[in-house]
This record gives sequence, C-alpha cells and structure tokens, in this order.
Amino acid sequence: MAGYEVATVRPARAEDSLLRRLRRSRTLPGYLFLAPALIVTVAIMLYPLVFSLQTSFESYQLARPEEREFIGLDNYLWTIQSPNFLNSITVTLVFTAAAVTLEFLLGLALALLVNREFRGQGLVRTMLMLPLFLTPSVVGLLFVRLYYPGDGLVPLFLSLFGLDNNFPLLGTRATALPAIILMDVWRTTPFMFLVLLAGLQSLPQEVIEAAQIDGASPWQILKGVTLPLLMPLILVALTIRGMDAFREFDTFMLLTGGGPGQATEVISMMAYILAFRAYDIGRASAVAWVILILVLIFSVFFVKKLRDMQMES
Amino acid sequence: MTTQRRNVGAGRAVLIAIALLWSLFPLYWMYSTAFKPEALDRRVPPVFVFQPTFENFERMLRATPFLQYLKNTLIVAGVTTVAAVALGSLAAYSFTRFRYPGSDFLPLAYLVMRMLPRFVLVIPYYLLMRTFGLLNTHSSMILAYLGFALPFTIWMMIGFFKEIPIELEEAAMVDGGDRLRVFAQIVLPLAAPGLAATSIFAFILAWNELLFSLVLSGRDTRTLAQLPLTFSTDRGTEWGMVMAAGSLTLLPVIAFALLVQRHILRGMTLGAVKG
Repeated sequence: MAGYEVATVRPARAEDSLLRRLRRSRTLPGYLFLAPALIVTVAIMLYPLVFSLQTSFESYQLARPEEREFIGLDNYLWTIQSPNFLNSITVTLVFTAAAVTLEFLLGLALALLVNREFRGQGLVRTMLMLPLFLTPSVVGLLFVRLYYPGDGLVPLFLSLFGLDNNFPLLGTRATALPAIILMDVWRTTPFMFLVLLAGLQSLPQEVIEAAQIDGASPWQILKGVTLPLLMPLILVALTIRGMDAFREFDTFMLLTGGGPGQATEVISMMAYILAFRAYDIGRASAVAWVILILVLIFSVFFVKKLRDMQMES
Repeated sequence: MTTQRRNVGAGRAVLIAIALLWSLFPLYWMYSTAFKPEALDRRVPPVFVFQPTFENFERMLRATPFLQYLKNTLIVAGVTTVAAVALGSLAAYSFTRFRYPGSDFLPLAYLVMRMLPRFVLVIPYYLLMRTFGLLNTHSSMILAYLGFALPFTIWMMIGFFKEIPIELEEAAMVDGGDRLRVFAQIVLPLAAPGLAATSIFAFILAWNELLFSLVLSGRDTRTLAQLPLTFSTDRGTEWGMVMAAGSLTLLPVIAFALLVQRHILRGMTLGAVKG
C-alpha cells in the first residue's frame, strides 16, 4: 500500500539519490534517532549542571537574587572547612556502609535460603521483593508509626525485653540513625536478595557438585567456590546499592528531617536545608558539586566494571 | 539420611516463614491500621482482630486533598513515562543499531547520569524553573522527572533491543523499507513486552519521586509522594486516616511491581543482570 504511494509520487532523480543516501547512511539516521533524547538531555542535565557550577562560585542568597556576585573558591573553602559538612559526610558514610553491609549479608542469606527448588518458590520470591518498590515517603511514614513512642509496635516489642516503651527511638541521638538503617534494611534488602539469587541460579552446577564429592562442607563451598564466582556480580550490586544509599533523601525527610540536632543529617539533607531553609544557593551548590565530583570518580570505576560484565555475558 | 534431609527441609521452612513475616508484616500493619476503627488504634496491647471498616478512607478523602494529589501524580507520572519511553527507545535503538562518533561513549554517559544524586540537580532546577516562571506547574516537574527517567528507559531498552535478531531488520531494509518504518513496524512490535515493562518501571519511579516534587510543585501541583509530609505526627494524629492515604498510594505500585517482576533484575541493575 505505502510502497505504491512512494512509487507514484517519485521525486526528481537527483533528490531521490540524495534522500536514499541519507536513509541508507550508517551515521546520519543514528544521530536522527538519538537527537530528541540528546536535546532534552542537554536542556535538563547539562545546562542545569553548568548553571549550578556557576552559582557554586557566587555569593547567592535566594531572597536577594539581584546581589549575585562572583567570589571564586570561597564557597568551596567554606564547605571543606565546615563542621556541618564533615558531620554530614560522616553520617552519610556510616549510614551507607552499615545499611549496605547488612543488606548484603541478609540478602545473601535469603538468596541461599530460597535458591534450592521447592514448591511455591516463585511466590516466596515475589513476597520477599515487594518492599523494594514501595513509595519511600510512605514507607517513611509507616515506620514513624512503627517507631512511635508509647504505642508503636517496635517500642512495644522492645518493652518485652525490659525497655521503656515511651522511649523516643527517632528522637534520641544514639538510636535515630540505627532506626533509619533498620528501615532501609527492610526496604532494600530485596535488591541484594534478587541480584544474588539470580547469580546463584546462573552458577555452573557441576563445579559445586564436584566440590561436594570432594567432601567440602557447605561453608567451604560458599567461601571457596560460590562467593569467588559471584564476585563481579557482588561488586556491581554493592556499588549500585551504595550509590543509592549515598543519595537517600525521602526516608530521612520523613523519619527525622535530619535531627535530632544533626544526628541524621545526611549530605542530601544538608544540601536541601542549606538551599531551601537557609536560602544559601552559593554554598549549597558548592556542597552539591563536591559530592558530584566524588560520585563521578566512583561511577567511572563502576561503569568500567559494568562494561566488563556485559562483555562477558 | 532421609530423616536428616526432612529435618533440614523443616528448618528451612521455618526460616522462610520468618523471612516472609519480616518482609510482609509492616505492610500488613499499614493496611490493618487503615481498616481498623479509630477507637481501637491506640490500644495497648495492639488489637489484631476487629471488624474492618472503610470509615478511615471516607474521612481521609474528605479531610485531605488526596484526590487532587492523585490527579497531579497521574498527569506528571503519565506524561513523564510516555516522553521518557518514546525518547528513550529511539535513543536506545540508535545506540544498538548504528556506529558513529559518540555511540560508545554516550550510553556510558547516561549510565553516569543514572548515578547522579537528585539533590545536585534540584537546586539549579528550582532556580531555572523560577526564572522561566514554571514553578508550580506540571511541566516543570515533568521536565525534571525526565532527568532520571530518560537514562533509565534508555538502558532498559538497550537490553531489549539487543535481543531482537538484526537479520529481521536487514531483510526489511533490503525490501526497500526505510529506517523509521522498519523501527515502527518491525522492531517496536517485537520489543512490545520490553516496552511495557520499561513503561511500568518509569511510571513507578515517577510515582515515588519526592524531592523534585517537593521543591518544584506548589499548592495546585503537589503529588501523592508528598502527602505523607502534610500529616502532623504528634500525639493527636489520626493514624487510621494517615494509613488509609498511604495504603491507597501504594496500591498501584504493588500491582505494577507484581506485573513486571520478571524484568525486575534488569530494571534494578540497568541490564547488568538479566533476570
């Protein structure tokens, strides 16, 4: 049908060959397919980033935009000397390291538990992965309820062991961060579980059977065979989860808003407070850029790793 | 030997039951609180058996702007999904079928963009949207959401396009079809399941987004992810109502997650792991 139309309204010969050459070219259509996404990317990623780099060198108060002024590296000097920044970096790293480690160990345990074939395996997998998708702010609110002093289920459970059920878990310096870590472990362990389960199921069965015949204990097999074989996958999973934990914002906003004091003020919280509560755009941009550079260095390593993996498969 | 194996099986069953309890109980508690009569919510010890009621939902719909937020969320997440999937699949097709300067580097650049912390972008977004008079509009949020949805859809679709045998397209090209027609009539139908899964993931991402929504929206454009922030959580909080709002917000996400679980691994690891 369409073929006929093209044939009847045939353009002039020179045009025809040009048009055909364009359509057959290996390069130009590639760019044409890419162009819409690339234009949007320049507008919503590149341009805002350059703009933010510019503001990071300025004294810029949100309330007085007309008094913007170039101040060189002052914002960066303030950032790296600021005790707030040091605190935020520390809190973020503690949160990320603790959450990701616990999630890895728990996820590995769950994956080993579910790995062997049994009836209902698919259903169990589905139910274990569910928390991963839930709206983080709603999960945050749910855990505010679960941690609520007096009648929250967690304090009530702890009171079985002799603790005061009126103890404010989220309002106390020593317990606020661990409480958020626990929530994060609940919410995102499924990520580790799913990745490791897929890894376990893709392992060559013969290698493990050979080890069993040689009389290796399950623990020896895990340490000597399974984990080394899964190592590239584990690195990728740890990196993705680590980067996501590093920038976590929603649940902190809901559970503590950074408090008490600054005990849970992760770096995303600090930038948010600096920009939208203290209205100091210049310093907030500098903080953002310091983090951006760290993240860039880290993701270059990650991207390399990921590319190696994709080439193997 | 047999007894030992059965024992191990029973032990495993118990452990799996504990894992399921850990995973599902908080969710159960949310829905249970939503259906619990308000008077029973604050009882100590907590009440597990009760006559379920819809009164929390009715009260919540009257007392909160849930429906307005829902409308905004549907608009923003819907348009973001359509735009990200359209632009993303065109770009992914370009990356998987053509070689040109940048065809190796750009996909990796999108991977790095996927890792960018949202808070780095939210400050310039706020300033730029304010300059262009776009604060408190759906457009500003859709543009910002595209920033994280696009790298995601590109990488999902790269995986799906790679699985389509290139010979089919070559045959169609020889028959005289041009690139765009081959893409629309041959590649897209073959990639339809992947397209559907990618759309659902992009929709969930947009549905769940808090930070961009918080900063860019205003009175008329707030989305459901923000609703939890509007509840005060002091002594007098009506938790039944709060949980009713939360459980309704989670409903489509849970439904969609069940739909796409076959592709979850690919979605979470950007193609590094095939599920």
